[in-house]
Amino acid sequence: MLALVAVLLCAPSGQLLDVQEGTLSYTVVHKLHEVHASTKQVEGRALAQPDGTVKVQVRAKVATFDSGNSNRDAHMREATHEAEHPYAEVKGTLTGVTLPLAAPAETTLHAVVELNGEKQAQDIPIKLQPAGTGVRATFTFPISLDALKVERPQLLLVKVDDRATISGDLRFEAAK
Amino acid sequence: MIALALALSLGLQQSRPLAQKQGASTAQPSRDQTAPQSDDIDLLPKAATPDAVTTARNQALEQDLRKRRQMLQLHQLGGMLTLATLGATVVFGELNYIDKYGGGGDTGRWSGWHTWSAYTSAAIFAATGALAVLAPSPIEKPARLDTAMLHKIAMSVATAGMVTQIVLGIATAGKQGQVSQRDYALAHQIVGFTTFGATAVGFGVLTF
Repeated sequence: MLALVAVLLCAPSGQLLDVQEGTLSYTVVHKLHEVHASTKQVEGRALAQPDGTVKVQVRAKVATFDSGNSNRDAHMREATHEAEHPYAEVKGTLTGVTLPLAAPAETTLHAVVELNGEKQAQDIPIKLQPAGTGVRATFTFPISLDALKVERPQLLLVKVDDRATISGDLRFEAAK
Repeated sequence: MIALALALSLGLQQSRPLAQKQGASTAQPSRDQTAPQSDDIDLLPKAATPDAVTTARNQALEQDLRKRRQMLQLHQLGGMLTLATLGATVVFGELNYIDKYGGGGDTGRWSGWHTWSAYTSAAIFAATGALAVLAPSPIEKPARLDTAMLHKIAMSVATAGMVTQIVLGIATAGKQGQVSQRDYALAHQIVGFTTFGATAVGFGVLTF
């Protein structure tokens, strides 16, 4: 009976939301210029639980990021060992979020960022806004390429900065 | 007790479709023990584990990409040397032209400098180009107008210019003592500036 109770209590409950549309982008800085790359091929899902906790998982294939230079994109795929680790991913938990949102809110996603097969815990400030029947989430946070063991690309023998910025603008809607 | 069981079974009925929708297991063990346990839930389907063939293919891809990266880094170094030596060639060529046709007395003092800098830049240009052309390209890239494409277009113009310059340079030198040498030299000068310009554009466009 106790086992049954445990199983039942562990079953997830709450509202499931999917990313309907959105953009993920990264910015790396070189002495000569800044490089922006983005993708619209984003997969994401959120599980909003009655206690205000929201579990979130968002990922995008590294191969889908477009920086406006195909050589550079190929280079980034090599630097992040894309063949072995095809996804860049963020998983985390928000607290104190009640859906549907009544008003814009700012909160923090206690997340784990995964890139190049490496994981890093990270607190990500997120802005939430009601968007139709769903929620729009926007965020920007820095990562350290060295910490994620990404061999920093070079241009003219000068490496890009260690600090890269990840940004996102995602619209979540109730899963169909 | 019966009420508890009933309540729990109702809860299960409500949550089961949700669990099915997730299409993935929950609480997968994390590879990183520092990751918070609460973040271990997989809401999205897990990527399929690659089979042996895919793993081997991925390893070959990684190797090719690493080799490509090394070759293209050398290509960058070669590009800087090309630009420097080509710039020197243009400067010495201009000085030689002025010496010969601009009232410099036709002393020939820049001729050797121009010749040797031209051969040096041509050799570096060829080696640098070979590094790019021979680098493995394991990832299919759709043709489109981006900075890499502009680089290739500019360097194709520069390559045509280099070939033309070698032919024109030898032809110009062979016209020593003839009236037409000046016309050949002028054409050589114009193509030289064009070649240097195309190389500089090809170099500079990559910084955008």
